[in-house]
Amino acid sequence: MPDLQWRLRNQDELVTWRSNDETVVYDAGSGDTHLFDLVAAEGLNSLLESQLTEQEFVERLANRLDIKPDEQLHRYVGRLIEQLEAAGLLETADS
Amino acid sequence: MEFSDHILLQVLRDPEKMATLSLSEWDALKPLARSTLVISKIAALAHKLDLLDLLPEQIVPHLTSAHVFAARHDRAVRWEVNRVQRALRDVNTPIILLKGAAYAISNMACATGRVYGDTDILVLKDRLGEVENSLTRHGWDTDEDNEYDERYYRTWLHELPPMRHRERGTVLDVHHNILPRIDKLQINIQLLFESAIPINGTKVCVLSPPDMVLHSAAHLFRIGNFDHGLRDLADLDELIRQFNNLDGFWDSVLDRAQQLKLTLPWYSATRYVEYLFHTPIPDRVKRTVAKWAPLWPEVPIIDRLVKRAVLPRKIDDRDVRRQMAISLLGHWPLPRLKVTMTGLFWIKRMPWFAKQEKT
Amino acid sequence: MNFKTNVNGLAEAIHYLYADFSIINECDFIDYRVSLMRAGGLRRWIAPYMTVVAEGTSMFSKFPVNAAIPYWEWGLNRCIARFAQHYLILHAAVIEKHGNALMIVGSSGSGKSTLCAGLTFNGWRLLSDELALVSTEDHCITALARPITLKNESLKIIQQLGSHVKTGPVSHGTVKGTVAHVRPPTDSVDRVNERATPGWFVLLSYQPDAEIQLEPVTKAQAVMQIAHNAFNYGTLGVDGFKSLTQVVDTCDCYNLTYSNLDEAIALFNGDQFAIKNNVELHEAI
Repeated sequence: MPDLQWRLRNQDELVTWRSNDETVVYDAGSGDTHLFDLVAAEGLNSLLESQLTEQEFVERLANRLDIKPDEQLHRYVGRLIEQLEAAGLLETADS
Repeated sequence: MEFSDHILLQVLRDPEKMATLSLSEWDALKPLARSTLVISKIAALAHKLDLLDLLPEQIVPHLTSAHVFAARHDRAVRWEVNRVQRALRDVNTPIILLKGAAYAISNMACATGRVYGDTDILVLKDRLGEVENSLTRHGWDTDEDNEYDERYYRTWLHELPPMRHRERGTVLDVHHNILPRIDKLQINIQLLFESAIPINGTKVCVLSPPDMVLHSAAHLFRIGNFDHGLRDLADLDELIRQFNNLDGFWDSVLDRAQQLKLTLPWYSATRYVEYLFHTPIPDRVKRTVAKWAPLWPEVPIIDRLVKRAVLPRKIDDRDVRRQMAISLLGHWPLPRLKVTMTGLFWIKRMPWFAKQEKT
Repeated sequence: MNFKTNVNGLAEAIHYLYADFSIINECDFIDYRVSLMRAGGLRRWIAPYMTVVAEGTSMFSKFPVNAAIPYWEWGLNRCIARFAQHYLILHAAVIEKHGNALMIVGSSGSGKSTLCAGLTFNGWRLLSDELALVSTEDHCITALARPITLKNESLKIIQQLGSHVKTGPVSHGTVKGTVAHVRPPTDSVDRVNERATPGWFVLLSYQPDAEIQLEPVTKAQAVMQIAHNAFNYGTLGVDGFKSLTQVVDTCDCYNLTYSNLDEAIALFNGDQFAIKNNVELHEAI
């Protein structure tokens, strides 16, 4: 559903550590540790700013990476949302 | 020495006493507290009362270890509830958290320093199939790879076989009643659902205070599960102390105990929790509850079994008498005769079916 | 530690493997009470089994009677992993030279214990073959200097290092095959109170007939793999994450594939692993 608002489940529980181009994120809620590459880390940063619909997420990420919001980026963001939701990092705003 | 003067019980009743213990007293206390799962409660109390600097330095790393361990359990149970809620969001049933999960989510006093095993939830019986399907879709599998065990759980107990999450390895026990079908006493579970208290307006609930304490009593003295007897009685002591000041609490408990026919478990629960932890129970309540005592000679027998079951006498080896006491308490209200006539009942108890442990 | 058993021959085996440790005759406080007992009564003969209990808690509830020594060591590992949560406990072999710790991370069958034993008898001090006890305060590693557990082919390879390598009784037919234990060198035991500063992480994989290959790995990747191979990283929560990332940050991290122990020993005794930092040796806390 394109108008769903996505937000980080509890950003106060996230602890990040950056080393070169990689970011490791610890979620104190789930106890899980996640490895983010550069692009995914920018995705996370986008969500740290505010909750977003999928379209807004694509546009904000494109802006951060200084690229065009093309079909490939749409697919990437779709997959990223699925992975983050399954990992318990992301939830819809009405959860 | 009176049993209730045991050093471990003294420390649990009066944590400040920790500061007066000698090194050899701690040496005796430590393994007992570990094996009865109360060491993390003691550690939590030591932190809360700022006693660590007053204790012998040798015990501090052990209490720190226990404290860390309990904190992990607290996080894990909260996450488990979050995941269960997510998995069951489309199933039309309230989810009543039982025991430890309920204590943690409601931030009850007894949750401090508690370690948790399985997560227990209660759902509507006619939604059980949907619940199981949803859980399976979200990563849980039935834990029993023994066909007999699986049938036993479904046929005679009050729950699905334990469900283990494929990735987290955590175990979820899904109940549809609080007493097993093999028990002659059948609870009207609808009453518990009607009184359950939602958490933050969601469909995740906890039992009402009277039901919560009665469930604890039933778990110990009707189901007879004394595997963690000391910890469970300590929980009940703290629950009672916490609810003591609620308006109408005691009258509600007495009424409910009669309504659910749990008068005998409640008699036993109050008897032992007061004996071990000096739980404050109003005299008028004690007078009413005294009428629910069983006929002689049951009381002195249960007295002995409970004392034997709550504290191990041997640390280095199997305490056979304790295991026997736990086993006897677990079978005290005997299952219906027709269950003992089935093969399932006995096969489950055969030692040859026990799995070997992995290293 | 206090140890109790009713199993014939076990006490003697333990005395042999822990020969360089001191026996304390009286003590006001014992950190860990561990017992390994054979079941009594009818079960002594019918479907016999043994149990390991530590601090009143079962470590192994039933295991075969021919595996007492391996289960004693595995039971002790479980005891530490379960009751020493004031450390960050990594599943790694740890050896030390010039105060720097080399931590070898790998799952069962990766060749971790073989490499650990090989280096222990070629210039490195043994801290542990299985458990890296990392302080959450200063990140130094506490030594255990316990016997090294070796299985199957590894046992033969290490025994070939020379007659100074002392092995205890061999247990056949265990869940992990043939198992025996190597007595830790006297020097490692004498220095058990010396802690070590983390220097290197080596993420190990063993491949038969493979050429030796050492490749740097990013610190973030190393954190992920080591976290996956830790006993209590999850238990320590945020503190575990912070401790692990801080420790990895100070270390050089590598992936290592090897099949020949001599080549691996030569690599680690070469310039690349000569010395990492100027460090002070720290007394055990």
